[in-house]
Amino acid sequence: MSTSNHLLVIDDLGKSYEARRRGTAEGTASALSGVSFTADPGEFITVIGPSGAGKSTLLRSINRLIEPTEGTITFDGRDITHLGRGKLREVHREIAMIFQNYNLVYRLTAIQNVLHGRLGYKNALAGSLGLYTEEEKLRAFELLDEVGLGEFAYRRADQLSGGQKQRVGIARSLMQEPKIMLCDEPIASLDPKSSRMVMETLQRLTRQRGITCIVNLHQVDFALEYSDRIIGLRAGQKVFEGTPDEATPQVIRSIYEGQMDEVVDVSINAPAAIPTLVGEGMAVSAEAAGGAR
Amino acid sequence: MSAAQAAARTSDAAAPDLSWFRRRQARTLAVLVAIVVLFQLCSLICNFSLGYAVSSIPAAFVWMFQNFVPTVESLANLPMVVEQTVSTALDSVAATVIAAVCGIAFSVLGSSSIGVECAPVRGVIRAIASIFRNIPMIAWALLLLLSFKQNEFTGFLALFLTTFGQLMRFFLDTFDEIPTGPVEALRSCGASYWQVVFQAGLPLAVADLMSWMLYMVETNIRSATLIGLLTGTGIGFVFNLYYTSFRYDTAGLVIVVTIVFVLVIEAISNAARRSMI
Repeated sequence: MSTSNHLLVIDDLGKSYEARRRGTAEGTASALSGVSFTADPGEFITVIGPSGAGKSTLLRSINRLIEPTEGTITFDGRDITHLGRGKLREVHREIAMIFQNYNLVYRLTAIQNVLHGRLGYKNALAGSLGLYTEEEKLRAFELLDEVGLGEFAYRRADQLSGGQKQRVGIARSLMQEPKIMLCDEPIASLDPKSSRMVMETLQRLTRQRGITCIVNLHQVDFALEYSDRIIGLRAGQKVFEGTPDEATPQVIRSIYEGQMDEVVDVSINAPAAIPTLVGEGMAVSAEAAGGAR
Repeated sequence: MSAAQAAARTSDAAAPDLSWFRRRQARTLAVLVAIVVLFQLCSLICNFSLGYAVSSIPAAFVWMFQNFVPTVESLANLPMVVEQTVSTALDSVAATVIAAVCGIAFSVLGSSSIGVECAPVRGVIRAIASIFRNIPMIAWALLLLLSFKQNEFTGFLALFLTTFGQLMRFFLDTFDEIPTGPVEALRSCGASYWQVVFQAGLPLAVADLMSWMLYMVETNIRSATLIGLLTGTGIGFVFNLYYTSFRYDTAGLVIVVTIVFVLVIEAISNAARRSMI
């Protein structure tokens, strides 16, 4: 595998936990094992798979919020698997993250939350006291405008709706000027309409800037619609990688295979998802169609 | 569920065991009986008679009103009483605020959410808080009297030390309970330790921190009067002076003024709390 041209090279990544509880079997529990893939600038990649398949672990291992136990991560031509804390901080500002629960500091205003994206670039004192330059403030306003929230700049984050919070989260991550964006279930807590809006904002903004986007998704139909490439995880292992066209209903069924609970879970999220999965059509589910109206 | 359905259900499966409810009621009853028996036993040992205690309350109140109601002559002491109350109140506000500042610093470091990563250090910080908290304020005052003698500073220090311990307990809980998501988010975008503390930890906790601090201000104004008795300062001393010299009218005036002060401070801090939510 050549590391020269890819922005991100994940090679044989694995994470296992020591089984600590007494009474359980000795040894380790594996959350992720032998996952390899690459990502290029501007690519939109979604990771799908049942709950507990390791999607979140994979995403958090890439920026080492979780320390992987095997394999290597090469970001921008640099092996970051074992970087020390100071160097990791430099890497962190180029890897943005979007969360299911938005993770805004809800007592601060939207604009303050957006400015948090700059913290990685600031010295400890200026960052702690929230002393941003005029340029940074203007940039934060521009980004809020871009996600359609310019008028909410001085609104406290806890007064925003879910979709608005997530768009503030996107603005915060763009403030980092990242090369890559990791999105952990960005729309799992949102209604279909807000979900669509957030996905479109993500796609548009990352495309314009050539930012690589890796998104964990629960909604298969959204994955098929928005991705350049889909990665399927099952029980901590990569079981599929390909374009949305290659992700046939059979393939998707096989990703979720043996996970009857999971299929039921999917059906709760999107009532029409089951027919989409087991039927021959690739039709967008009713939920997504509803969101588009 | 209709009766017929219920009957159908019990017939096709084994009859559900309903004795659980009876056992539960029996246990509640047993606990109640035990409490009454324990109370009677304790009363017997220390010669306490509930009937006598209750019946003597009205007489006690009558005596209090006859003796402690401030008289016209005692009003001449009002400026002095108010001055001493203000001084005591300010002393306790100062002690509480400084204790809060120190408490915030220590509990940030000792918290599980944004504390230092070394667990033993967090343990030591929590242990310090526990020691300060568990030595009663009166014990502190008596201990400090030996080294600092009778002056305002002794009272201040006693208040400061107990408040510090007490507030750290509340503050640690507050910091432990802040959502971890925003903290993770700031770390993930490259924020340093202190940036996370000031930009996520404090903003998320500040309303609760201030609320606890105001609560301690209120409590400490009451406690300060008690400390004053021991350290011979402030309103506590004034009360003691008039009380022991049988001038109950002025002692009563001290009580009235203290109550008014506590109520005023409570109203102010409630308003402050509301404005912070």
